[in-house]
Amino acid sequence: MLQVRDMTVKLPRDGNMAAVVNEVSFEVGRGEFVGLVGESGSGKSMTARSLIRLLPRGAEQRGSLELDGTDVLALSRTGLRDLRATRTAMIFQDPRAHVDPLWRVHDHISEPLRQQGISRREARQRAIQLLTDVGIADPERCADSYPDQLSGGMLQRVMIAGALAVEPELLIADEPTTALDVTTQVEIMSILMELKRDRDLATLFITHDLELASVVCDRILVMYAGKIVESGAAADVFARQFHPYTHGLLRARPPLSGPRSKLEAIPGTPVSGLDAPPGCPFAPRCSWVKPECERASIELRPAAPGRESACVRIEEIADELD
Amino acid sequence: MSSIESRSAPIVVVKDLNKRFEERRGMFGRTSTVVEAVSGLSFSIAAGGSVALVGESGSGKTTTARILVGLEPPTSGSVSVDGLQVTGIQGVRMRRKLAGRIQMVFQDPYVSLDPRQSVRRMLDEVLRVGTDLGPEDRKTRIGDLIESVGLPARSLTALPRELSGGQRQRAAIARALAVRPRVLVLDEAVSALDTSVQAQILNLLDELRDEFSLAYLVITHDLAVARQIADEALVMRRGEVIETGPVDDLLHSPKEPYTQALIDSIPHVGMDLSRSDHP
Repeated sequence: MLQVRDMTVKLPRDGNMAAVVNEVSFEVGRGEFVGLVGESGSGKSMTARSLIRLLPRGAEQRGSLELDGTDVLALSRTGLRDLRATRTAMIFQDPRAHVDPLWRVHDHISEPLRQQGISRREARQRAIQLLTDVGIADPERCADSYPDQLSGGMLQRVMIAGALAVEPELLIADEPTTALDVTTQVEIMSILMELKRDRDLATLFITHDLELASVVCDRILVMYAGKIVESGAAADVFARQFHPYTHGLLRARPPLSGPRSKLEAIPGTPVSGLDAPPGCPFAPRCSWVKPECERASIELRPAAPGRESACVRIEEIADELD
Repeated sequence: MSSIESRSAPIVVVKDLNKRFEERRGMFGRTSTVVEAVSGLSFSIAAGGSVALVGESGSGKTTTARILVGLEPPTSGSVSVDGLQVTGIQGVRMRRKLAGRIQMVFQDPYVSLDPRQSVRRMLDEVLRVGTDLGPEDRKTRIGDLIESVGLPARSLTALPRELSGGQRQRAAIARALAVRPRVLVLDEAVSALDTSVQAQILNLLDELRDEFSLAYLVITHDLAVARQIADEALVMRRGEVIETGPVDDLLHSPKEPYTQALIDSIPHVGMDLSRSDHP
């Protein structure tokens, strides 16, 4: 469904252009739920936005990007508008920042349908059906509410309903549960899982939460400083890591059982691709670092069936990180 | 509260705390509803102990924290911190006395730090207002604080925006520790940090508790964080405590369905992600 090849996004920086997303390649298939996992500055959100060419002014995007055969980078203005309005949908961390407080819920959902020439009455009916689909108990009442009257979890359901109204080919969910309570997070993730199953929706799930991604995704891509450093089936990555960063990230979370001891923190701070050193961007924080890590850029390569890692020491560390 | 036993004399004692907010609704706020943000809350923290308030939004955990540091008056009940009655506290001198005993670290250091002040100026001002130290002693104290929280000496001249998220939180912790309080309230203090940095700050908080003989009140929605830096926890929901105990007991044998629901919400292998709202 979605094919991304060697995509780079550059932003102006001190008079030059610097890569915030650096030659990333990945695919999302129909009915597949793919997690793009990273900390701040990793370029995960910029990658997501670049898929619909929603980039800051002055940004430069290169590489190849295909959505169901359409060359997204070659799209005209109308083509791009169509891509954003009907072929893809995006939901965000803070739904309140993406709704008009003066619009009722059903306006938000039915507006794109009205644009397609569907009658007011039918659009409202569709909106109510969609609200039911995302688990809203009293859809009629919800449809007539204003965003202010809804909780964060309810509003995120409304956003999902709105995203589905246009029957998109690709759903981009950018930290959709980060601002929500933990019990609400489970509800929202369950809805997204069901959509993937029942509607065969291709979903790209952007998150900072590697544990959550491991549980809900089919595949995950781990990003660091603008590059994908590890990828594979979610359960496999969770069970065994081929990149010291992924390993360190899983170890850094406080455990829920076992003796209480000092956490194995990763030293230093995550860097953005804009500030990444040459060579492996993780090298300055890595306890496995070797001189060659800092010399040339390190590409993703096969580490095991279905697995890739951008670490020069895959073979050596594979056993020890087990 | 009997389950929160003190190993030594309690430094924080909260008795039957209540906080009611009147929420005005409707046009011109003519109708109002009363929200019981905190009701009947009692607990104590031993000197050098660490207690977590665990709950979701609307549980009353942050309101409780704000009452403890004197930012919010309670509707009824009493709070004492190191022998000082917080409830009904008034006047600059009393507030300064309280600030010398209990300090708070917030979730977002970017909001809680003055963007125009360097780390050195920020700390110097806190020491000037909050202690009787002279310029030389303040300088020494600032150097010690920076070292204790693991900031490089060069960060003293940095503005908040020139620091990383983790460094900003270290600076906020240094500010809270400057007046040598006996209690720190950590209000979601690590929630906004990247996982790799969160671990560093949790380790730091653990070390500081020993170094400064601090007691912690940990406000968090994250049971794993509570387990890491608190000994005991109170699970709160809609202003009430629904279960208390050592964090490991709560995690491994919760008695209340809500505590169980919180545990089940932690991402784990085999997690139930089927829809319960419409099968």
